[in-house]
Amino acid sequence: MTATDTKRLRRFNTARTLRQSPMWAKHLTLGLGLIALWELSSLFLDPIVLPPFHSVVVAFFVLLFNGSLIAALGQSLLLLVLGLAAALVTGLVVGIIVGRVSIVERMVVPFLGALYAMPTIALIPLMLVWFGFGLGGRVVVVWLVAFFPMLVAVHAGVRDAPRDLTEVARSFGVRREITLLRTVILPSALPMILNGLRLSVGRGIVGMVIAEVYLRLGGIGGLISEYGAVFRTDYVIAAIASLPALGLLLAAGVEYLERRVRHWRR
Amino acid sequence: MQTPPSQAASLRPDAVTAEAALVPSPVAGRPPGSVLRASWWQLALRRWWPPAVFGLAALILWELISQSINPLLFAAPSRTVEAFGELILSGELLDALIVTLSYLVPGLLISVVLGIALGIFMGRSVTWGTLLQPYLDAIYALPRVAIIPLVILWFGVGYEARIFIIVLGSVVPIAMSTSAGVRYTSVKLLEAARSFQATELQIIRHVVIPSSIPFIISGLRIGTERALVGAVIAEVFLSLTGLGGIIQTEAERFNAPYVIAAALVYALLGGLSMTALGAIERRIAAWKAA
Amino acid sequence: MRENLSKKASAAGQGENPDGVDAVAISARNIVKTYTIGREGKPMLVLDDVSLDVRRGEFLAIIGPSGSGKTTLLRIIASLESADSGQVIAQGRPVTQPSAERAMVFQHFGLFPWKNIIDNVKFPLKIRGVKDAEATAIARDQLRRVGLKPQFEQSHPHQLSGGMQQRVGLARALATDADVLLMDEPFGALDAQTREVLQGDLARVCAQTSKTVILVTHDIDEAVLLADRILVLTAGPGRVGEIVDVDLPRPRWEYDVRAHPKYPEVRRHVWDLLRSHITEDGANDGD
Ligand SMILES: Nc1ncnc2c1ncn2[C@@H]1O[C@H](COP(=O)(O)OP(=O)(O)OP(=O)(O)O)[C@@H](O)[C@H]1O
Ligand SMILES: [Mg+2]
Repeated sequence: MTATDTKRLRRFNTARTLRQSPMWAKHLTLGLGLIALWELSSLFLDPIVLPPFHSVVVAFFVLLFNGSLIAALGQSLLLLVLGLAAALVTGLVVGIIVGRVSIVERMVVPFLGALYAMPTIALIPLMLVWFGFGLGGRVVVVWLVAFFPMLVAVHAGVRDAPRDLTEVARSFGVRREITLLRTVILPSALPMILNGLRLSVGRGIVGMVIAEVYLRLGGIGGLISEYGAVFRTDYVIAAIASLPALGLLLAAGVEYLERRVRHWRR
Repeated sequence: MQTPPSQAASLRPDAVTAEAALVPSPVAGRPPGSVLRASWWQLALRRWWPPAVFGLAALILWELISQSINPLLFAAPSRTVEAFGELILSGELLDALIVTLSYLVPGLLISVVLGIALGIFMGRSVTWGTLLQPYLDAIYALPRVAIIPLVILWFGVGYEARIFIIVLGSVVPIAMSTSAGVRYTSVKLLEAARSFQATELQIIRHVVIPSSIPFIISGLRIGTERALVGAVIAEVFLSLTGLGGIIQTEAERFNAPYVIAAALVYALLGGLSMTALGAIERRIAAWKAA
Repeated sequence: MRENLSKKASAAGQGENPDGVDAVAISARNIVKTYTIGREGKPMLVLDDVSLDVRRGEFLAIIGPSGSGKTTLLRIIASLESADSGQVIAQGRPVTQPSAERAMVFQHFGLFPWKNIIDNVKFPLKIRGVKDAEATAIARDQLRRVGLKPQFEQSHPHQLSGGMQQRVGLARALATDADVLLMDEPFGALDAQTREVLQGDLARVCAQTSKTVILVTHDIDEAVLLADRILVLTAGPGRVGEIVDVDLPRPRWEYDVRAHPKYPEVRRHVWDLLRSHITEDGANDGD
């Protein structure tokens, strides 16, 4: 280190303390810095374009305490859980069949890549037309966007179940396919399946919001459209903020399951 | 390839496992039969008859069911083909496709450049990587439809707004995947490069980028998929143009065959880009092996 | 236990089977197996008319050059693979599907990584519907028998060394209470010292439990050390070259077998057989 370097470091003492501070302090500094920047720039902007941070916080608590956020979250969650459960069950059943029955696999796999890459979002308007604007149609929307990641993950997990272990099971007298699935194939596919579930949760939330915003009713999506229509941007942002929170919360749940499942791994 | 250790909870797939999921199985990828004896069309036939049979059966079933209920509402395949032909002949489909590509391609390019740059930065600087991660995770977990009201306030409903929607969705997965790749660059290679007094830029160009390519490509896969989704969202929820415009207007008129025809073009775009990425990946792999 | 042992040794050593057919635990009759790579590839003869008889309580080692079909033969005996023609007969009945009556010990250990040690050993018992408490008791017994300390019961396979994992594999095979143990290079993945210790333990356990064992191995010393008879398979296609009697006194873990005057003689004999086949194989490759 040269002499000038040292001098510079001594002069910018705050910079050095920051560099050596623990990670949480850095996170805190960055977070507070961003909030300050937000507050500052909102001084120069129309509150419709960018309301100050504090009014978003206030809006959030208003929504929280007048119960509308909880109610919206409840509706959204119901939709999400139903759609994801349907995707999980159908994904498991179809994925296992595709992964275990070789002729079905050869029939279906060339379509899988295409279906996986296809923006299923493009079909959402049609789904709502076909299955109605009620809860049923919306559940179909969530199912549609969440199904393919699930299917692909289950198929891959089942297909790649280690052959030597299925052989071990057979050598000890496992004959029925269902027993083989239960004892070897599904346990070894579980990490992959959970990874698919994580992807499905992410997409499912997108499907959920699209269904709600598209119909301008119900759930968080409905709340956002409602306040957007009257240009209450602070409330819009407060409602939006609950979505990543919901997503990350669910992701943490999946992560927890993954950790429980992976405890046998190194 | 190692699996990156899981960090904080996130909705993004674990890149390597997601990749593995789409690698064709040996059954589908390698049809039985010795390469030496069977001619190419025999091989093709052997590989493609099952999906052909399946696809045909599905189409016929769909045709029968929709004919017996309501061929227009349920988009009987025959009606869909008709609609497709009509949209092509009138030039409407091509126009819409060009409009869609006019923001899809620039949006994706911007995302690739920004995403790779951000990913390299986050991968090379441990502190910044850790600091920015939660924000990226939050953006990734944020459904873009939800911020449509904000986008309209900030960018209007025109071209900029569409680009913003696309980039916002695609930058993040590309950056995250790239930074994971950068972080898993072999320490030995880095040390070797440093021992030759390579500068940071040289290290990035000659060591970090080449060794992160599989990760970058897996990020591009997710990024491209999300760019397509972004285009649809922008077209349906901002202003009705492009392919999404056809989808939405025809859905409102209950013209299902037209909706499916336009959606098929989107599926085609998705399939083409995935195929292209796969080809790039194989070329790079071959060049690496050589 | 001692009487049992000496009776067994004499029956195996002199090749007498006073009980007639009953004394044969497992036999293979005229096994032929070809593999075809791809649908139109040239069929490759792997096993050509292989027959063998294993007496009850006997320890048979199968040795042969790499690719001679040892694994294939053992898998056919286990019914994990089917032969083109020929039959495997166990207890006088043809064998058609895998069964816990013939317990396998795998070269790759074959432990389920998501199950802990005791659950791995309990696996064949649970499959058979044995009650949990009983299965646990049996599994504990067998783990003790193969010398695994109880504190590892709750560990997962990846936390154990290779040698310990194979002890678990052995315990699991023993837990089935099968009369026949089939082993495909069970110590192939272990280092030399661990292998030697496990060989000793295997010899002891087999003698105590009077199992019939078929052991596939690459290792001549292992074969001579453990086996009553050694079947030498010829290379490509596999045929029964010769069956060598190992006439060394038992129990062999009580003395240094390698120091026994007969040991070099047997070893040399097996090695000569193997070498002739390997060179023959090389000559065949020439044309
Ligand atoms: N599933 C299979 N498909 C095609 N060929 C096979 C298959 N399994 C084995 N073979 C072939 O059969 C021959 C015998 O294989 P096998 O594994 O039985 O030999 P081995 O004696 O156990 O060899 P090693 O000592 O190396 O384990 C080999 O040439 C092998 O290539
Ligand atoms: Mg073998």
